[in-house]
Amino acid sequence: MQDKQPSVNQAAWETLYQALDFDDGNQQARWSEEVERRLKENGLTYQAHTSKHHKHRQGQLDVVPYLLDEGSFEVLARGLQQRVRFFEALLGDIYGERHLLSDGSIPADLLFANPEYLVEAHGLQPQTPWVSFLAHDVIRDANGQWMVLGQSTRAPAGLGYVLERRLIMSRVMGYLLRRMSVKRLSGFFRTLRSFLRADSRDQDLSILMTPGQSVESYFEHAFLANHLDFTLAEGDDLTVRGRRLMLKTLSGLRPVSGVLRRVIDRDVDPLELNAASRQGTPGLMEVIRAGGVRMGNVPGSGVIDSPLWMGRFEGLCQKLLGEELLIKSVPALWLGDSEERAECEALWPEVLVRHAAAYPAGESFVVRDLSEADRELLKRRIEADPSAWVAWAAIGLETVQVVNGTTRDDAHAVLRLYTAQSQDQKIDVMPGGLAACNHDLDWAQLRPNTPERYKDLWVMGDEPDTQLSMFAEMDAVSIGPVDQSMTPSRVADAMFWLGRYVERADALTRLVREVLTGLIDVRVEKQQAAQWLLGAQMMSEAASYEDVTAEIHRGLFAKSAIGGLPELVNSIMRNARATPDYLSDDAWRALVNLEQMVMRISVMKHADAGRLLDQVDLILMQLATFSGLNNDTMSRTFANRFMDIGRHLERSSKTLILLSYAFNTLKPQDIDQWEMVLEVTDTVMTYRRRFRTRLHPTAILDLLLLDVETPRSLSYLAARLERQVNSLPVQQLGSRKNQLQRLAFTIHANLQMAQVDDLMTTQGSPKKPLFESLDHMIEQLSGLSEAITLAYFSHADVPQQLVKVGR
Amino acid sequence: MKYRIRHKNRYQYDLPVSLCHSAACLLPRDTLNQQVLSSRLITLPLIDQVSERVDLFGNRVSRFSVEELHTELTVLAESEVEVRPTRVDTVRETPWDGAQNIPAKTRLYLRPSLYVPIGQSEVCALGAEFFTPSADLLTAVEALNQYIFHEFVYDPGFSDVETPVGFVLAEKRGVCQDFAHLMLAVLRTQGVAARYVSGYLETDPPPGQPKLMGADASHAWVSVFVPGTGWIDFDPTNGLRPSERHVTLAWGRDYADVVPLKGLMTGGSQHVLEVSVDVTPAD
Repeated sequence: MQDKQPSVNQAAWETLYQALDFDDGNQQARWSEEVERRLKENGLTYQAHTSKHHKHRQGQLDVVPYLLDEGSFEVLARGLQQRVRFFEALLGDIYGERHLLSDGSIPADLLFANPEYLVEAHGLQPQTPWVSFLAHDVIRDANGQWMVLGQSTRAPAGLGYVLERRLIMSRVMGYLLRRMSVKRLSGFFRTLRSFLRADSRDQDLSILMTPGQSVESYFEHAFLANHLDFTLAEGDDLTVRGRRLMLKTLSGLRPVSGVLRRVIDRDVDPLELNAASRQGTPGLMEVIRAGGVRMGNVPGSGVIDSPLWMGRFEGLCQKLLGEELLIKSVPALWLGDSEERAECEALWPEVLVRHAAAYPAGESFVVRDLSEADRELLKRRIEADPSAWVAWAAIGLETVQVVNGTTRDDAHAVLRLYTAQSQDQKIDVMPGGLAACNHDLDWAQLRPNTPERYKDLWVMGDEPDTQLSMFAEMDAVSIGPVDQSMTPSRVADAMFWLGRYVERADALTRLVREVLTGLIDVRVEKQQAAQWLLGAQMMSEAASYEDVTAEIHRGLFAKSAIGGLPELVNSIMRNARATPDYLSDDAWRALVNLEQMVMRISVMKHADAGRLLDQVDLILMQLATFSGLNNDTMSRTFANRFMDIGRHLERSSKTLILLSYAFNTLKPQDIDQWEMVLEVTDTVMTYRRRFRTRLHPTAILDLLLLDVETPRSLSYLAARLERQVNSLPVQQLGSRKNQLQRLAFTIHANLQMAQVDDLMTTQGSPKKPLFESLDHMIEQLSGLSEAITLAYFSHADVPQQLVKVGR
Repeated sequence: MKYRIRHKNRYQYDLPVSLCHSAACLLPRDTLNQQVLSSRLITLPLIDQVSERVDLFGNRVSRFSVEELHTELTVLAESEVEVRPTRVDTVRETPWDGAQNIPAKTRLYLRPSLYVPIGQSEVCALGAEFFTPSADLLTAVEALNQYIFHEFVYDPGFSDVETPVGFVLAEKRGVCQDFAHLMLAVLRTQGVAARYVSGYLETDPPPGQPKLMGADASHAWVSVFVPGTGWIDFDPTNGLRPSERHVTLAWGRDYADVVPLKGLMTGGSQHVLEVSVDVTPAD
């Protein structure tokens, strides 16, 4: 067997290949399948987290890891540590004394053409390292020499995926990792955490600042926040007071001491930086300047992500540190220099070209592959602003083997490695990471962020790693930050509406199920009752059998239906995505399934009532699964209370509306219709147990309005609402809280004092006060909803500009 | 000349504002021909903590936050400056040879910026009329300055911050800010380093002289880097070279770097702004 990585001893490869091929017939295929299955499972959750469409992730993780022995890793680690020290010195000079600019070590046009150069960061003098967290893309050329392809401070993406993939690998082939003494990753995460939480007694919060669900990497942000035990927060969740950064929580403003930033430099503070961005927090730059928060990374550090100066790092390192750069960067030609441009022209078209934008994003070209016209176009663009381009002749990369079905073939690998720097400038290199593999040599080094395959990077120690794992329980479902009063107001808001929409979808689905059941019944009375029930939801008068079904589909299941099921599920997903770290993986799976089922029913335009009914049953089951999961796993958290209030508030008004419709339109002898009222509210069994009589409106009202033990009755619901409202956090609300409690109390008390005799005649006809009190309660419930919004969600207020600046 | 400057901004909101973070570029800086004798920033509601820092361009940036509920915010900048006439050796010829001899730190002013795009074809064409192969730099800039002054209409209602330079050029209308941005775009496209200057004009003209356009408010003009000589100011709105009657507040790549007063507030809904500027001779 050919050894593709010379620095790894043959024995390790033999162990690995033996385990893959010989231990058990076709172990490799079984493992590949298992890895695939788990990735796919996670992938469902992953897709559900963001509103954008994504490529599927299947088949992306190779079962054969990238192996590195400890010795080689140490060499690599020393080199990366030096690079971090170099970057600190470089950033310190660029935004400080500017010696390198004055003496020409950095060409001015190179620095000023760098789109990440932040004029506003000048003089910042952060009281923390500039780059506490950095991703490096490292390659090994054909001679076995390490070289850096680029680094990313702005969005050192992939850390969540490293965790996810290592997790999958250790689940599938855990014993092999132990046998090969593969280094654990937990120490690295401890360093990362310690930067943001310098003092373990620190009561202040650490947060992961995310642009929100509009970005593709949102799932990774949620995943990381969860595992690092940070609160996931968006710019609008934060505010600056007295030069401190504060999180807007249910219990008021809480100081934030550490921020792991995933919002790009320019978008961090709309007051001082990009005024057009909605992702930041006004005043944040001043907080950093005053040392009020530890931020990884400091805004302005993104300047090192640009490929423009890769070819100059060697000289700059010598100048700044007096040391030879241990791992060189790709020797890229900067086209702002006339000599280097001439070199590029000599190489043309055997050259790779990249724009100044921050690595690894930005435009890049394999010139050889361009048409004559496109080459000309590129040339003209370069001539217009040569300072903004770099070029290099493709580096010959080492090859590794990737599994391709039952065989393996060669691909080029780029390693993504991570460094973390603690407050006292101790630099840690993660003994692991990802190897991005591409079959195409050019694209492997231009777009390593979109590889064909990933490999898990295993660093093999001499003896088993005894390091205690911070992530021993990593597999367990972990939900939300520990201190529940720290729940961001925006999250509570979303949970409240998630509860309302889930219940609204549930009510609608139950109703439709009864309608459809009635429609396919042989009895005419039952069919009429179904039509009557449909009237509670739709205004239409249905004529014939087929028409009704089509009408139901158009009005309730089609994507265009206002207030229909697809619209409700959209609202459910939108609110769920705003609370990713508060829902369990199982809950997510239930939501994803729900979304798929509803999507399916939305296209069943020509299905008959029976087939629709089958699908409705499935949807109802999925809704029940979601609700059940949340009852179990999210027990007594504040966030859950808001969801619970949302659900029961919605259920109360839906029941009231149904009762009002029934008593307005039915006579006591409309038995089939009354039965449907009980079916929709899921109380048929209770009624039978309770009354053992035929259906009677007075008894139904008693059951659904006044009974304190039936979970669907208004009295029960009002008691629950009052209890939950009373247990909400009190701080900083003052009189609003009292108003809220008074409202909940009044609704409950009115029901407790109500007498059936006042509302119904003995013959079973409604009296006028019934309608009055039903209407009154519906109003009170909407008042309660508004009061909750005012008391808890109103600091989701968004700042606006005094003077318009920016496009 | 000694001047006393009062620049007052008063915001009135129809709903209370609970939080406002502000940054102001309202206190003048020293320049080669200008000395700041005194300056202060006063706000209402009163704020204890107004911090001041010097930005990359050397401007004084004040930062303050109003964290109490307020329906009105007044920011008053008062200063006393002494301005001496600029002495420029205009006789010396500076042949135009592209951006070769511009020092490192100054090269920032060759780059495009938020409000100053470079390389647009109309802007390019306009520049080519003045920057002919054998042109003298100062002569070409002066001609451009006069061209904008004579051909463009000063029209306060025409534009706002978002009006792009291309539209100003097409319509030949705008205010001082638009003319400055346009002139910068033409100059930078030609490889001339040039910056945006914000400041004031003397409110009342000396006897016998006309009142300048842009008095009674913040004014803006441009400064051009002439290799071997230094920075020379041009005011395309008034078709002249600023001397004793212009007071410099701050400079940068464009307006975005020197916004006199910006802020982000929570609450407030609609607001009414009242601005008054008085620049009067002291003594």
